[in-house]
Amino acid sequence: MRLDDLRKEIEEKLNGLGAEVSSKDPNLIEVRVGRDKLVEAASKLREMGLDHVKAVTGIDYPKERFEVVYITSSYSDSLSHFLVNLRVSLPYDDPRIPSLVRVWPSVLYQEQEEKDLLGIEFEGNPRMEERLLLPDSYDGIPPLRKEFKVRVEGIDA
Amino acid sequence: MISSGERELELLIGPQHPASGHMRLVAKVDGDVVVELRPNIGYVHRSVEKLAEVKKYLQIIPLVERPSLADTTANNLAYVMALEKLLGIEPPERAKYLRTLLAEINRIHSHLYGLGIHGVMIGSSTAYMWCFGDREPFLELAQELTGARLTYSYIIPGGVRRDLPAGLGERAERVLRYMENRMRDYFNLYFNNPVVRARLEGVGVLSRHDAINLGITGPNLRASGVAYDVRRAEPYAAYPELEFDIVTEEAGDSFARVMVRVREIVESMRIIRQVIRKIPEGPILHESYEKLIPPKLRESMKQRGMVKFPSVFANLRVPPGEAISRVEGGRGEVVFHIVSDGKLSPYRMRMVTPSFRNVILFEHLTRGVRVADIPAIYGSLDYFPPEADR
Repeated sequence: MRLDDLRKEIEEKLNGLGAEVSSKDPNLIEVRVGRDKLVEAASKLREMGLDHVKAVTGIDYPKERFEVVYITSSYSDSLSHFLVNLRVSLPYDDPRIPSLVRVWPSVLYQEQEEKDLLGIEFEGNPRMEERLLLPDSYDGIPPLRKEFKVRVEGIDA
Repeated sequence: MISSGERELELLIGPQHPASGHMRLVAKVDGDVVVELRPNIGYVHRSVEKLAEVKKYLQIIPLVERPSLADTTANNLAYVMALEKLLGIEPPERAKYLRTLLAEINRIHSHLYGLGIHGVMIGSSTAYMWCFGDREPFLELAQELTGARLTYSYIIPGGVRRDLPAGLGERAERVLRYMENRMRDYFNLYFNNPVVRARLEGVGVLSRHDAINLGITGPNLRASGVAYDVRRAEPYAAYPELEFDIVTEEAGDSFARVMVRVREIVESMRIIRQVIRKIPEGPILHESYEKLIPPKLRESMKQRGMVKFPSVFANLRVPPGEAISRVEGGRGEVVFHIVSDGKLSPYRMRMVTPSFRNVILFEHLTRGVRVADIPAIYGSLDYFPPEADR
């Protein structure tokens, strides 16, 4: 399959969801979608054979927005060459997003990590109340947020 | 903890280094049957992603290697590949072969590490000693090539740090022949041992469907019959020019996962031989970077076969944009997602390691097994806590 064919297929499949689809050589397709249409778009991509998520990246743009990127792909021979990013912007003062754990069970721990370290709420993920990497008692600023400053120690300090 | 009238007992395994690093398994058991098991991770979290936002691009190379002690080349390579995508630079052919050489040496000693730990987890201290002993010749090879035993930092933007030492090809061949002979011993003593078979066969079965659904990666995925390998899906380094097979097994049990690693060692040896035979002559650093080095130093660099970093590397600026890279490491797929805003450090760096992708298997494969099966399953996953925690 060629990148352009896959892009066209995705555009058709997501028709009506207000998704912006773009592609970048050699093998990356980016789908930007509104938070209210996320689950629907994800289900459609899954139906197409994008069967797992490789990474969930949350990005903090202070006072402006959060972005969450699901990097999806497939284990099948025809699609495994491609990566499809599913990207959502969230308002800074309301970082909530529907969880995709029902569409892709492979995001269970990755969403939990982004909640733990970045403070983004994935509604519907069963692990939202539990810490993953941080101590259970931690109640400071989520450390991956830009407002959390790394304290420098040692000779450079 | 047990309260009166309840059948279930909570059993805590760890966090003081239960096997391959600090983590805790929280098991609910009924007698010696596991009702539910949950991994509790984070005890060796190093905050690599946050630190990357305050380190310069070159300083991040050793940083990303640290979590995956036995399998550092995969992280080194994946990180540098993402960087090169942003910089728009391709390493020269010879450097691609050298990257492949180190990656495959590393795959072998990473697999031996995993097999050895698994051995001692199910009570075979001989397998442990053998695997760790036989890792040594491969560590020596890697050391000769890079100057370090484990944390190589060998792969740099635009190339590699050192050229192939004279005579390494012959010494590698001796190591490979030694390992081929040893393989027979391993089968006689360990892999065909009825006790080992009884502990591993049919234990911790992962179906093909679940392996895909849970996003499992590496030998653990291939042992369930999924022929996915990044070296084939999105070939990098010198892999497009080399012949090798993707090893798969159908059974999906602990023994199949062990067998995939064993057979991958054989494939890696095949790749190493091809690299030694086919490696082209030429530079080991991209010419546009080489030009940045003063002529005198450049000359002595070429004679010694070592790269002295061009001084601009210290303040390497990366054009704004995003890049994603993936590499097939020993334990599975390593994914880097770098967001650059054109400054001296990444704006955001996401690093997803194979152990983090596979941690879900602890809860998935242990429902209903006997307590004694926990180490048999744990070991077969080649799970490395620091790699998962990052």
